[in-house]
Amino acid sequence: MTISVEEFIYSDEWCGGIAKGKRLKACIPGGSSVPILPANLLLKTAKGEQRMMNYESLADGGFQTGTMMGSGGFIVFDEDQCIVKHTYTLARFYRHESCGQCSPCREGTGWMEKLLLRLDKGQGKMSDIDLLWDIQSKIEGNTICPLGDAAAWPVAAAIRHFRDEFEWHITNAAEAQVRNFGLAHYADAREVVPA
Amino acid sequence: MAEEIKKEAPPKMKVTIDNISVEVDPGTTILQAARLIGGDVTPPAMCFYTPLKGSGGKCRTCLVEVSKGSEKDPRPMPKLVASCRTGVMDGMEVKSVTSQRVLDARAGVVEFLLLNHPLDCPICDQAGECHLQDLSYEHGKEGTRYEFKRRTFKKHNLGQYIQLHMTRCILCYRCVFTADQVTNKRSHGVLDRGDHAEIATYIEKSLDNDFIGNVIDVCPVGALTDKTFRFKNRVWFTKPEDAHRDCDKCCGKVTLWKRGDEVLRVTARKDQWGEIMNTEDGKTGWICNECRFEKKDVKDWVIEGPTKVARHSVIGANHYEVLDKPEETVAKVMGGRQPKLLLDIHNISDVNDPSVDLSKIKGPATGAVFNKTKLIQEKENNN
Ligand code: SF4
Ligand code: SF4
Ligand code: FES
Repeated sequence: MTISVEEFIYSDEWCGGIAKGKRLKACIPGGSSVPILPANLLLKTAKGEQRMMNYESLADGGFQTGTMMGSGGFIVFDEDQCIVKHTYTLARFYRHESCGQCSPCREGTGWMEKLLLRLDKGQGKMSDIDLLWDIQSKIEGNTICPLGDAAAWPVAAAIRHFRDEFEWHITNAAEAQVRNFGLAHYADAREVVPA
Repeated sequence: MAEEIKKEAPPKMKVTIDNISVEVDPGTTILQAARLIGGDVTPPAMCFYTPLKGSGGKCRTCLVEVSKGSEKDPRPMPKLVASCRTGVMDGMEVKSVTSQRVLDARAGVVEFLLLNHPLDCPICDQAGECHLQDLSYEHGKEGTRYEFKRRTFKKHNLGQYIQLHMTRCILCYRCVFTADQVTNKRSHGVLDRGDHAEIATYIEKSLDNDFIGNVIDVCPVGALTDKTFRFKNRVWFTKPEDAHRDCDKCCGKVTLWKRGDEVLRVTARKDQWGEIMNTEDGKTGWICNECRFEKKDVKDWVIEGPTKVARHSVIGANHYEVLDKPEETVAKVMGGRQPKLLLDIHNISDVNDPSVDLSKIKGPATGAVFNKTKLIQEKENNN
């Protein structure tokens, strides 16, 4: 696969771009457990290189500034999508899928879902964001099977890259119910950090 | 013959846990090796139960860090592993309480286990011998960060002797394995999945198997309780005594929990890890329902003597006070000479007054406590 992520999304040969000419906000280059990336980190790596559709390039930067290639899915978010709501949807999915054998996943996925629902409804608290971060870190790696990791990663990645959107949901609770945080600065060019 | 068997015995494996080494047979798990060392090093285990095949791996309280895989392959394991389900390798190095990662993960698991737990210890029959109480006290953090409604279930009667209080269940699956392996017919299992999974008998079928009572003993919390004992007493007011009787169904070796001469409860004998002990013939000492629920008269039993209770256990409190003062032997071994004190601390301190009987003081003893006890004792002596 030698095409770039940009070409994959926008070329007519592949996905044909985003409907109604909307702008790209974020993308999950895999199934739902794969860490989400904002547009600026998706199209170019932190080093400023073009990101390609292959394992190495998508994983460039680790989970800090990169992601991983998933199992064939590809979920693209346009500027109208809400990351908080979307993270809640994923958390809900994983809570539903948890088999309930081991305690971190059984209890942790439900807890994350409840917190995210509260945030999405505009009833969250600032401390909820750090709490979510802590819960996912207690689930990740401590469960029997990788479903725990899969439930933890999307939450971690959303907070890592979209923390201001979460904060906006709390500080502008009423507005967040009627309007979307939108594209915000997620497509802005990043400063290239020299390696 | 003996020679041959010896030769075939595989070499022991050396495993180092928190810088303490032990040699164990191949096939031993990290948890079992740690139990040989004992003390703080031993990870807590809420779901693993030695007599039950296939148990363990569920609760994740026994997570440890493997910092060196083995002599042959010294790479560390990237994730924390469940020590109850991980076999040792020769030269393995494990970190339990010396790893902050492990301590954090354990505190996390405790928080998860308590998330939906009612913590109704004041009205819970298990209180005082509850593994979850010990676990949260020893490995948890104070307080919870959970602000939502807790999950609750209805209470169910499983047959005439057992009550299931699912709200308190930590889903360790021990009772499921017991019902599967000890009784001959399994009608007890886990229904549903995720955080609404529950222990159940299909269509609330009563469990009339002779050995089903053992699920009460394996349950680490107060989810399965003995209906003949419910709300009768607190375990720390009862005195455990080992006893036996001739039983044609089971080994008949039990612990009686008595108050005065009344037998309030009968359980199997458990070891220091809370697991049912083996009898002399090497078999697990499961007991039958008749011994457990129906023999509540001292005359039914031959009493062997007090059960050994761990010193820190709340069950041991109140009972075994020192009645005889220890004999002073210093003068004897010193050829009649009394010990000479460099500083007579009794003159300058309220505490340590030799005229006060230490066994009369419970809990921390301050100067005030000493003085009060002394007054009481003097009064008693004058009368
Ligand atoms: S099961 Fe243990 S922790 Fe839970 S209420 Fe009963 S005594 Fe308390
Ligand atoms: S009822 Fe008790 S033994 Fe059974 S799974 Fe729940 S906590 Fe474990
Ligand atoms: S005792 Fe090892 S996971 Fe429960």
